[in-house]
Amino acid sequence: MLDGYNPHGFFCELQRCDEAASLRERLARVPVPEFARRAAAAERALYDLGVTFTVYSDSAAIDRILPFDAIPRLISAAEWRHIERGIVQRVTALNLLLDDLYHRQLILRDRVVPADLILGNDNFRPQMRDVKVAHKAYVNICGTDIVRGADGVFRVLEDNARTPSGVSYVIENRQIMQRAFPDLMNNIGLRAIDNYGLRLVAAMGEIAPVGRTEPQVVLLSPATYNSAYFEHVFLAREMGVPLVEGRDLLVKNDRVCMRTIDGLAQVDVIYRRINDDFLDPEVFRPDSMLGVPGLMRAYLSGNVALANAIGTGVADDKAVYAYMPRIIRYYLGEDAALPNVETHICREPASLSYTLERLAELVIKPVGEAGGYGITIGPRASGAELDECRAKLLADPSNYISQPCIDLSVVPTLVDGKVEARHVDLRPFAITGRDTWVLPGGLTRVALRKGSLIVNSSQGGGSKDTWVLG
Amino acid sequence: MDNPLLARHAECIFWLARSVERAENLARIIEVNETFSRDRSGSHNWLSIVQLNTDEEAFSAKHATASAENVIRFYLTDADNPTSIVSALTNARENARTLRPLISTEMWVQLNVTYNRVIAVNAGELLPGNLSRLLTEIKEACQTFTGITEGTFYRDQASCFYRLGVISSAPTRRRACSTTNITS
Repeated sequence: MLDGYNPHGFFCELQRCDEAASLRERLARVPVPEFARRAAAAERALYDLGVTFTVYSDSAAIDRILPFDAIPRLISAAEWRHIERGIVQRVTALNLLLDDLYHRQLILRDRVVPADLILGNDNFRPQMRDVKVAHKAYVNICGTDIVRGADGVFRVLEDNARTPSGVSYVIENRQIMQRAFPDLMNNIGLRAIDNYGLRLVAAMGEIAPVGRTEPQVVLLSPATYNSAYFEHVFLAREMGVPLVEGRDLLVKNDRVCMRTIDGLAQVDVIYRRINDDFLDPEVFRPDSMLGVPGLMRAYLSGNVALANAIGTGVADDKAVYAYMPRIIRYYLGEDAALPNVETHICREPASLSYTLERLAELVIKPVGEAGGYGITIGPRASGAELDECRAKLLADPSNYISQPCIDLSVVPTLVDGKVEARHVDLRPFAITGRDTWVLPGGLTRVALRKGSLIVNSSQGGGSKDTWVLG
Repeated sequence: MDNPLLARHAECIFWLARSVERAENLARIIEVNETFSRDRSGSHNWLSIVQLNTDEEAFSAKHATASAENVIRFYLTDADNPTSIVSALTNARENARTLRPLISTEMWVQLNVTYNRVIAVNAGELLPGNLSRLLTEIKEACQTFTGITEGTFYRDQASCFYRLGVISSAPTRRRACSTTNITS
């Protein structure tokens, strides 16, 4: 089925991987129509299993699956060792940064990161000053977005240190592949990923308040109308913990309790899938209906642990991201194993003029937005869009960064009965309790539209199973 | 791990069971009426179903006459009517969605498929020659759900609330059977 496949000069993860020979041979033996038939059955199974995200409109709830492509994305053992080391290093630095920012602030004193960038940041939480966090593990669950350009170098595009999502697709995609394509993966040396839930619940146990022998862990979800509700259900099942909503919890004597049919039961650790803003209406947004009044009191009293900790959003800010290589060197005395994508911080005058001169070649991103909103891709933008972007940059330069447009690596992908090259990225997931563990592989998102570099599910993106060998 | 049952989940299980029971019972009542219940002139008396459900007020607000067409639509496909089959199954599915961490995947899939079937019912399926087939299908889908639940749902506290929901809707079923006796 790989006859006629052409990566058009982009870095192909399948052709360039030196351990992929066996998979290439196996794929080559399967005719495209048979592969397409089995892939369609696999996708159908995802729908039947309810592996869906829900789009709510005014009148109806529509369950959609994240489109799934059955040709896996491959990572060699050596490549993975490198990525894994880079992720552990990065998560370690993020946690050291947060611990420092919420205690002595040495990094600000030493002017490695501008103080106003941190202290003036909406996601910096003064309530967290001098609060002790178990094992200094602020970011218990981290998703790091990695891209690979034409030079084959893996680079970090973004840190997701608040409530990263997508890991349920990683595990479901593998289960689907095991059912539909066992012949592709048998004896190929594939690293298992089925222990994620157990690893996660173990880490939650490690951060539980001291003295709670059998800690009660719960997963706090914003409820069924959240588009990631499927993932919350999936993780609660994998972890074997109750899936609760804010209204199931209350705070009594600075302790968090859940309402059960046997009365109130104390909760020790909350894996929360709700942002800081909505967690406690007494402290943050008073209009939040999703949170638990008094939760911060219980948290600051040390009676309940939250994962991730409050205030991690200051560390995955796009402007702070630009300083990550310097932050890693500051705390660990090492160079970043995974470099950043070259980033120009428009608050610095030289970077601003550089950006304004090359607007049509660069990607310009607002620092405070997530999910691909507000981004201008220079090479694809119209003259009017570039003018608008220029005006915004000049009005508020410190709200923007710019980066070169990366030619993302490609993987063969089945599109309309043909195998074509499509661009991918990678989001590995790291769990941190006492120490950091990285799930082998992660979420490979694929831009299904020809030529598209945008892998977000809201813009025609799908996903692939990610195979780590060795 | 032995987790305590959330009070909110207990309530959802109760209503999940009740809603599926209700959908099945309603399908049975309509089918019985369609098949057997004729008055002396040989035509169906559809008002009896409205009376059975004490829906006279809600029904007359929407329809002038208790014609076959009006009553069948009111109880099968009218999503605005909280006592219709489509409302019962919508309610069951919403509760099941909330309960997905507790119930089996098969229970969820069965409800999801049934719900998608019922919201896709077209006008032709409500016509006299076809109605019975549709009602049988709905009944069987509900019975399948009951069987899957029997086979896959853990016998713990949650299943007690499920039983409660089933039992609490039983009076409707008895009424359905006795109405059949009276009118035939």
